[in-house]
Amino acid sequence: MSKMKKLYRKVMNRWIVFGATSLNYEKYEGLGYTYAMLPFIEENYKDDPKGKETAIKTQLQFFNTTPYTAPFIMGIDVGMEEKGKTASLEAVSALKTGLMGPLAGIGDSLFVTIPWTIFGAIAANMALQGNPFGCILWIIASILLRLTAYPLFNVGYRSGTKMLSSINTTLKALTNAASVLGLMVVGALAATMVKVNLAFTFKQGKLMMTGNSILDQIMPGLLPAAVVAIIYYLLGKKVKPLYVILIVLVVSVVLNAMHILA
Amino acid sequence: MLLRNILIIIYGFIINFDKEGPKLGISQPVVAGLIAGLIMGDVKTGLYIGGTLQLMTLGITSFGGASVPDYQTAALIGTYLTIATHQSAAIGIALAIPIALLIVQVDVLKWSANIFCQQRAEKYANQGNYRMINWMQYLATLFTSFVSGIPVLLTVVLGPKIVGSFINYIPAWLSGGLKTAAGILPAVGIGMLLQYLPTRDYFSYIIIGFVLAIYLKMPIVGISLVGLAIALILYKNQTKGNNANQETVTGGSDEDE
Repeated sequence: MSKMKKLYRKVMNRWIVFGATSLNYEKYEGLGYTYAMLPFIEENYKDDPKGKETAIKTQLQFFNTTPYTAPFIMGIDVGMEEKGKTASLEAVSALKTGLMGPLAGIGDSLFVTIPWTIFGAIAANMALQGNPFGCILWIIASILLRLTAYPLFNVGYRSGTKMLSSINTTLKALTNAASVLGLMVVGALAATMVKVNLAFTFKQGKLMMTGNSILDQIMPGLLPAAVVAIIYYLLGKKVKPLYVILIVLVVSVVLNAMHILA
Repeated sequence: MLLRNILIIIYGFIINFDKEGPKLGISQPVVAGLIAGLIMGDVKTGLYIGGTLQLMTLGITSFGGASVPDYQTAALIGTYLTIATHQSAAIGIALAIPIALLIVQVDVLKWSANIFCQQRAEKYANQGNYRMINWMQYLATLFTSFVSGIPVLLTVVLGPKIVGSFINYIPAWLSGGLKTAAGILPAVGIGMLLQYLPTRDYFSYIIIGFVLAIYLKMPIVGISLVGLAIALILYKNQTKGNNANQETVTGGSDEDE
């Protein structure tokens, strides 16, 4: 048993370090998944060369999910193959395909979008004030996020497919809660980090007001909020982010040249 | 200077590897700015450039191969050029934006080149030469690190002189416009995030965050903590019902959703 445990850790270490580094248009993480599983496959099919070949070919198929949640799938996979050997491979293949979609949906928000937003916002904010502490905090958070691979693998291995529905509900609740936190930070960022400065100033006798201070009296943060709303709308209309960025660049240069924006 | 250049190049090759592999945070734009700043001996400029670029990308990474500007490598290159040519941070940011857009195109090459590794691995599997599958993974990893490494290498070898003289030719209208754009571009990052997050279901929380920031002038860490408190309450409420369910189901059959 302890020999196997070491093997699992080796599989996880391989996935953590090299997981998605072989991403390709044809099979996405197929090669990376196989690479991580190889030590296990070598051991599991030690006395069955034909089975080994089938197992490797099965794993080389298309695979694509959030690298953070893949360990859960790998845990289930290892558990199934250990018991069923080659007989389980068809089920393993179906399971991988069936799980990678839902786990990518949850994984992308829970492990990437939300934590990266929160820690990224904190790190960037502190950085703009010349303080590197936010970056260090983020590196620590990143490492902790990465270490979830081991427990996730174990949960997958121990519970197999049985626990899937309940872990799915827990993860969904967690994702919802974390989304709330993320959205609050996003609201704050829209207010403080988007800078739209009107270039014109209003003068009447002694009274002088900049364009922004006039708008601030209506509602502070009105312009940034409006810009975010427009961009959100454009992206919702399936305009590619790259084009939105180009639009922003062109509009900025034009409005700046016309002395509307500073 | 030679040592600094070498360190910058090495770090350039690490960035994209970390982005797809270990994800230890050292491939985030703001951290890239910090590390490049440390290497070049001007942490403040690095933090400023990295922080600004970080806000343009936020939690967005290239999910499933969608093209998102490579602000990570751009933060490194922008910081390096700014400090090496003694420019202001604003110029560094203006340079970094087009660089970020260019490197995405290099990323497409990697996605294509790695098909070769995948297919070779399949061939080796047919031949029973499993050891070589490992090497195909390492080769693909090398291609991946080239995406950030080669542009950085080229920048360091050719960059400072060319860019230094090029900067002097940037017309005022362009640099002014790019400065304006640098202020607005974080809105693109935010807009992309809102597309990924359940914005429609939880719109109220955006307003709360907005109000806390702009009317109460609360710092971002404070807002995160308020958000954390609300998130914990919500999580507790949402799992309460399920926990009761789970106890009865433990060891039993499938749980219905």
